[in-house]
Amino acid sequence: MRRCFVLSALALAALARPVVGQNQVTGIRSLAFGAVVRGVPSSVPPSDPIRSGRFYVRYQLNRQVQVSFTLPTRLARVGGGGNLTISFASTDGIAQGTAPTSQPVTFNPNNSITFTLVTSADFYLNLGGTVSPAANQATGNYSGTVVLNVNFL
Amino acid sequence: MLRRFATAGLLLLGIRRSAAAQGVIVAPHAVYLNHLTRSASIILYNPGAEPTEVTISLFFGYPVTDSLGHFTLRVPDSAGTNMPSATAWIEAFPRRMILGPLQRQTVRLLARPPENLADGEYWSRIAIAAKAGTVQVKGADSAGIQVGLTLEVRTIIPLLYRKGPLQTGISLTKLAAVRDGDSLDVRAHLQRLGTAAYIGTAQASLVSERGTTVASLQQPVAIYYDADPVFKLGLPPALPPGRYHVRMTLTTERTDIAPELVLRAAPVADSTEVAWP
Repeated sequence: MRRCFVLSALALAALARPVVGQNQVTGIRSLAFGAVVRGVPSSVPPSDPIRSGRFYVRYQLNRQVQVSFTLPTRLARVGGGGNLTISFASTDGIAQGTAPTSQPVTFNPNNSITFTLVTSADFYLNLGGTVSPAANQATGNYSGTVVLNVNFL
Repeated sequence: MLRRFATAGLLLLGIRRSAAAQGVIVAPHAVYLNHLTRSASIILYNPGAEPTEVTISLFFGYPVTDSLGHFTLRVPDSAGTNMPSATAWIEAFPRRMILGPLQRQTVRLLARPPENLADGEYWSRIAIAAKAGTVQVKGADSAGIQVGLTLEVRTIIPLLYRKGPLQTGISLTKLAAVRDGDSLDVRAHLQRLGTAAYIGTAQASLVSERGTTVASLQQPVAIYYDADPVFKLGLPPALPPGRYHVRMTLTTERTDIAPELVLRAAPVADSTEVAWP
């Protein structure tokens, strides 16, 4: 029984072992706007520890990565019949390395940006945004996709 | 400050556990193919607890520098006949897959170049798109408006296909250094020579009149045509006033690339003088 456990643990450890020379891009959480009220814009700042969108990127120290988002401007109502406006301000992106000395960098998520990994080989990206329901916004579910492109240069 | 950081760290532990389902680990950093074997592979790994939908595609692009000296990817609208694009004749197998939790998948890349392909180096970019399930974000307003956003992450790595004997090299000109706060911006014009991209390492150092190195950096570079990059040299907090030399050297040494894949070229170097402050 114990042997089985050890073998299972070893197998899991082997699976979890990183492969050599790897890159990682992970979507951690999506933007969460909470209660959405008709006619009232709802914003989530990128610094929000719970509701902001969050991504993780790992490469190599001293290398450069170009980051760009493909962001929706409208969220489509599931089943048709309307759109919900979504926008991203010029300060809705924050990048921060994982080293204790890493400083957060605010950026415009509507433009691409290149980071040089000086203090750490990995970093987090936070994304904020605003949804603006119209006064006569149709009820229902609205969906869209946030795409993060990471070019490993 | 420390406490705040520690708290953030605890939060991150929880986040990373749940997040691992929404992306893949990709290896290697860059893919090299040659005309003899015409194949290579990449390894994908889903470290998360949920399945991830993965799609592989290729497109043509190469790194250039913008006006600020930052590297960025140039993606031409269409790769004309004068562009060394391998995109049209590289195929990935499989191109779509569902990666289960903790599952690895090898993706084979096969080249089917045209018969009359000239000697040279051909480029492409591999995009590995990973999509997680929709995250439902519920708005509890009386009108019943709910918002759900899906996350997709795209990992983009270079592919280089080589045929025949190739040479590379680099010319280093217009070396200049400008102070930027507590760092020194070192800029240079780099022009690739030969028939293949220059994949190497830039080393810059700031040397005092006494010959002491007070700051240095080492940064991998990939020059496909030409570039005017900026290298930020972090300076010590109490740098004594005086005259210094900025030295820059470019070599084809790369520890992250298998030696047999490195195209060797003679090192090039230049220096310039800078006054501080």
